[in-house]
Amino acid sequence: MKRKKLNTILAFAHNQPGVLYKLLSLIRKKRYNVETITVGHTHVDGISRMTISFSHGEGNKIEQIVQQIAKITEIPKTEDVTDADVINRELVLLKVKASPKDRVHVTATAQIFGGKVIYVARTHMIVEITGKQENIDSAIRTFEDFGVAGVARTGATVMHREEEDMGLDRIVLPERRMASLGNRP
Amino acid sequence: MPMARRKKTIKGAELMCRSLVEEGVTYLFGYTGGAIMPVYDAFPKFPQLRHIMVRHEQAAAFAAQGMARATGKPGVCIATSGPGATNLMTGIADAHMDSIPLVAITGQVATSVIGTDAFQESDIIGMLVPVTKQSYILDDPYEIPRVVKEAFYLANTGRKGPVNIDFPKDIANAVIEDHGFDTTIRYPVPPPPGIRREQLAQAQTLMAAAKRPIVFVGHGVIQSGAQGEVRHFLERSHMPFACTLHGISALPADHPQCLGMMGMHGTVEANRAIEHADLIIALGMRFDDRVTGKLDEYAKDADVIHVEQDPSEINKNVRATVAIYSDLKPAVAEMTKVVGRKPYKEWYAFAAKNREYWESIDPINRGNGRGDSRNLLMGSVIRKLSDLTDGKDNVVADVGQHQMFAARYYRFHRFNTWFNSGGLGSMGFSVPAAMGVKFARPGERVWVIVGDGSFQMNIQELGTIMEQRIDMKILLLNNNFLGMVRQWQDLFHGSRFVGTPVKNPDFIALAGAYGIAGERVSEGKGLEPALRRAMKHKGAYLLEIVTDMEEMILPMIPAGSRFSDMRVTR
Repeated sequence: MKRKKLNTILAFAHNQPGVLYKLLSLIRKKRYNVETITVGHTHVDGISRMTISFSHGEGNKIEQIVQQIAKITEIPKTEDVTDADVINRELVLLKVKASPKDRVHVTATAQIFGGKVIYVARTHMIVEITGKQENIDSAIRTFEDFGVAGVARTGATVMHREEEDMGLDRIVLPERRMASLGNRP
Repeated sequence: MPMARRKKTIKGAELMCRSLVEEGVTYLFGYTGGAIMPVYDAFPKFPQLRHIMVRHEQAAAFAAQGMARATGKPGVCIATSGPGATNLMTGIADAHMDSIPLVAITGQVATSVIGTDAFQESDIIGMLVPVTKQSYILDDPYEIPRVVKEAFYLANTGRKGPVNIDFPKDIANAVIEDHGFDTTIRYPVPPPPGIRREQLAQAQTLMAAAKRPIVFVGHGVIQSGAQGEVRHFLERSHMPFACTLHGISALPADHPQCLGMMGMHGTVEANRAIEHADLIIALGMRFDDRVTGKLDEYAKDADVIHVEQDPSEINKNVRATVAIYSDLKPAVAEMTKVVGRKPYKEWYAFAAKNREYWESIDPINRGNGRGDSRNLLMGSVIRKLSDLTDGKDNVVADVGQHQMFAARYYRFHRFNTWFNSGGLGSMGFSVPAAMGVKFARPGERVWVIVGDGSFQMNIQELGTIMEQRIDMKILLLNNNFLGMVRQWQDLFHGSRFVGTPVKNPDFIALAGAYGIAGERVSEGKGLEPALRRAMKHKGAYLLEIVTDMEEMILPMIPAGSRFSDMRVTR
């Protein structure tokens, strides 16, 4: 498997229809190729966390794309976290070929990578591993000795080790809007 | 028994109109149709809104742009769903490229059938996302006041641009209780941080050391109304300045420190100065490829102080030595406090030498302003217009050679009187945009400068001009060619004129059919009296000038070339 230098962007977005479309439309316009993208809710109602990794952000292009994403109205905060102090994790499900006598070895190998076996069939097992993208890469390489019949990777998701600026001062969420106004039946 | 008080109600379409009135909208340019009919039906109840019916939706977007460019406030265009909405797209994309505040209202099929390829349905949000600042689909009538308010706020805040509101027919027809709507802006735009102390110190050092500085005046100077601060800075520092295409008319063209327009068709003195500059102070501009030519070779010896309110434009094309993310007014005022005055004698002498050189070879100074064909040169026509109007009229140009001639040869004396499509370069811009400018400035004279190609791209608007009795003067420079493309064919494609000769109609007769007066001038001596007649005439006037087809707009830095490759002669 080829190793690529990935640039990672973290963005917080107002969870509205069309935000992802806008983001991807922008990335397409700049002719980037998205390697992974993960989106999920945060502890703030209405705000989603997005982690996007690209290959090959040459020169100032990565800075450019961050600046452009920052202009999307519903995205109050975005930053390049490639070299930032963040925790970067990815989850992988691996379908490993395993005859009954391989099972113990597959289980042991999974444990080396801090993973576990979550399914066993007659000729294969499914292993779940969470880790840094590089560790996932090397885990997949290691399991190739047994034979890999399938890989499902989620893509990276990142979180700052310390406090995070979610750009909440740049957005007025529903509960902070004028109470009791609006006369919806 | 007391009767239950009837609750006050309002229709979605009326709520839309009322919200527009609350935003101070006076003119809407548009075209009706199936899905937008409820809004049109509500217009009579809101006499504050004056609807101008155009003849094609593209013209509605350009006319709204003309209004926006002349007033600095968002222009409004309105169209129906499907083809009505898609026809607006060119004008909206144009506004996006030139940072023009625009609110486009498009009808949409009823929410119950959205996504089913219903009659006249188009996914206009999907199409407009790349060319708008924000797009809304109103799927809740209670959201109308908030969305309209936010649309105008976003269009006109920070770097300006277009916003689209898609308005489904069932929402427009919905009847809801009328009181106490939530109008909170959800996405407040934070102001730029402004110039930092260390940046100011750095700028001061660079300015103090500069021997060959040049200041760039961009569109941002006009849009932020910073012309006073910029002028003060220039006059205090005595640095020369050049304008981008959209920076023209920010300051008077005859200012002694003005070197004219920069870039592909810029003046010799501006481009030579940029080539040799040791400091560029770029104010409210984005180093577009028409400005820079070949990037790696661009202004190699110059440090760059870039002041911009859109951080995505800083370090995009040209690396800034000092990148100042700020509104122009305060940043320029701060820089004025720390800049010293120098005579720059040799530097101005260099510019003067280049100017004199150009004057000595400028084709309009020879042959009585006529070309080899004995027909008039566009440059000399524009110069004559400039002289007769003292450079004080509003000029709306289309796209092509005539646009560049207008930019170069009209001596603009008044602030923000030059309008054209710079970024997208949309042919067909001028006639509808000028309608918007005229509605915004009814007491002022408005000229359209247009070629025979671009005139025909929105020629149907002669109908609107007739109906609304819009008093604008159309100066049609007719060389029976798509001149700009012809010039490129002449220079770079072995003079193979493919798709550029134009078989034209009798334009004067055509204008006559719309009840618009006009005349055709083919002789040099007829030009001045004809211009005077056009100026004197009450009402629209079409003045067609037969011009030399071989004329080129020079100098020219070929696309992607270095400044040292500038061509000054054919």
